Amino acid sequence: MKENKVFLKGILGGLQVYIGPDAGLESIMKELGQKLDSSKSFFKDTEVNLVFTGRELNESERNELVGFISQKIHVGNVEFNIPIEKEEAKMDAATYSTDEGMTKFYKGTVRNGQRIDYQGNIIVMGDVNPGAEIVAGGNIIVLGNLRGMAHAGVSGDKRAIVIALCLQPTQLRIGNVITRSPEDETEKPHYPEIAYLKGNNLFIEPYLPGKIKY
Amino acid sequence: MGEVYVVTSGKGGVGKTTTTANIGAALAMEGNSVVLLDADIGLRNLDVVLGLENRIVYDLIDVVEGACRLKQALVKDKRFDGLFLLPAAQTRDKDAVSPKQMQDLCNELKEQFDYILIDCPAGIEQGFKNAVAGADKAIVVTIPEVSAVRDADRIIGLLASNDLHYPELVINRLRIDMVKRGDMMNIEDTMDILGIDLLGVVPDDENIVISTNRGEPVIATRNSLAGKAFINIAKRIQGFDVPTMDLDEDSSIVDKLKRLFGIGKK
Repeated sequence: MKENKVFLKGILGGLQVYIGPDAGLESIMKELGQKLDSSKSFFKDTEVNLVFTGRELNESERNELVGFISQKIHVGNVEFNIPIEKEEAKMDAATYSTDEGMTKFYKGTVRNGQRIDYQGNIIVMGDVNPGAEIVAGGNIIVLGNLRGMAHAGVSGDKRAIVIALCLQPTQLRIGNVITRSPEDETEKPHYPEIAYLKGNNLFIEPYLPGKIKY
Repeated sequence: MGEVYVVTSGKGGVGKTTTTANIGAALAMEGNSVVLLDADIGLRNLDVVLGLENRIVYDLIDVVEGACRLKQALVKDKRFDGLFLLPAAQTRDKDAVSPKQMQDLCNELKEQFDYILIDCPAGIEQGFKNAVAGADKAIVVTIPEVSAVRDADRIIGLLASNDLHYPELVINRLRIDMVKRGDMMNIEDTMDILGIDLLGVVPDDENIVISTNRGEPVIATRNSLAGKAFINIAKRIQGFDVPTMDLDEDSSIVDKLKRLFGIGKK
């Protein structure tokens, strides 16, 4: 697989250019050239502000790059070296928190063979059928039957929880703890349940509003 | 302008071909012009079930490749007026036709027939993609077994990604005696997982095996419960409101009497 050395991302009023950690100037320009050529008509006649992130560039590299891009599009303000780590850390706080942050709402049934993968929390307004997978960085709430696999706190967050109106998952994972339903499961529950971690043990309890202690 | 239905299931052996043949025959019996299109290229069966194998001259691949005209490839059924078969090629494989070609073919058939039923191959690969490409509506066939229901669920998801959003379900080969004993998934269990509209329930019936081996649709067999179920499904497709039939009809008179007096097990 060809590794991308340059990523372009649209931001307000311009472009964010991410330069890969060990990308050489030549390969950067080559890839950047291709990317800009393919979207040339989009940038026609507009002033594009540039923000460079990723690998640090020295003075001559900066000048050469900006000069190169100016041949392709009309460049406005240029900013350098917004450190990418800081940005990622900011994203972390926003998306991985189990108390607040980004949430994906999925409306409809998640069927066998489908997978919803999201860094933040996931709310499914429908059933999750056997063979379906829900993978969230934060919490998972299913307003329906959860019969498939759910993995909350996929990046290791042990505070993540899973709630379903009818919790009968084939497998339930929180953080790095993996559990499966008992084989001799007879009756399906007729009330909402919540799954959470205490230490390394996964507990399932009836969900009682206002009595959450985890 | 006709309507194109694809009959699909994901899993093999649940009765797609039987369902296609019988719904098609029942629709034709009610006076519609119907064409059954076998999309299972390389493993064709629909012609055998209809008893038309020895009448095939041209097939679907010949039509899309322009080796013959569409009309030349259509095989007229020997029992039902208005029922035609467009057979699959047996000596080619699924890559011999493209989704675009299937779309064009379906559009052409739509102008001449009221109903076009496509018998989809098992699986979710190229054959499935070809079969659903030209369809307006989908019928999902399943049997009350966990693995078949799982596959049906997968298929419903794939149909949705092909813009076929409201498929209807046929539950085939239901054994009412086993359901009563709690040994088989019942209709509610199946509907609960799949969550789509129910088009009909077809009971397990040995007449199916007999008539299939003879190469004739089971709807031609008198007193066959499965045959009646297929006729009802065909009526529902035409927009008639047909109540679900009593699947218990086949139990013996003694059993019925026993139940009447409350000494038999319900």
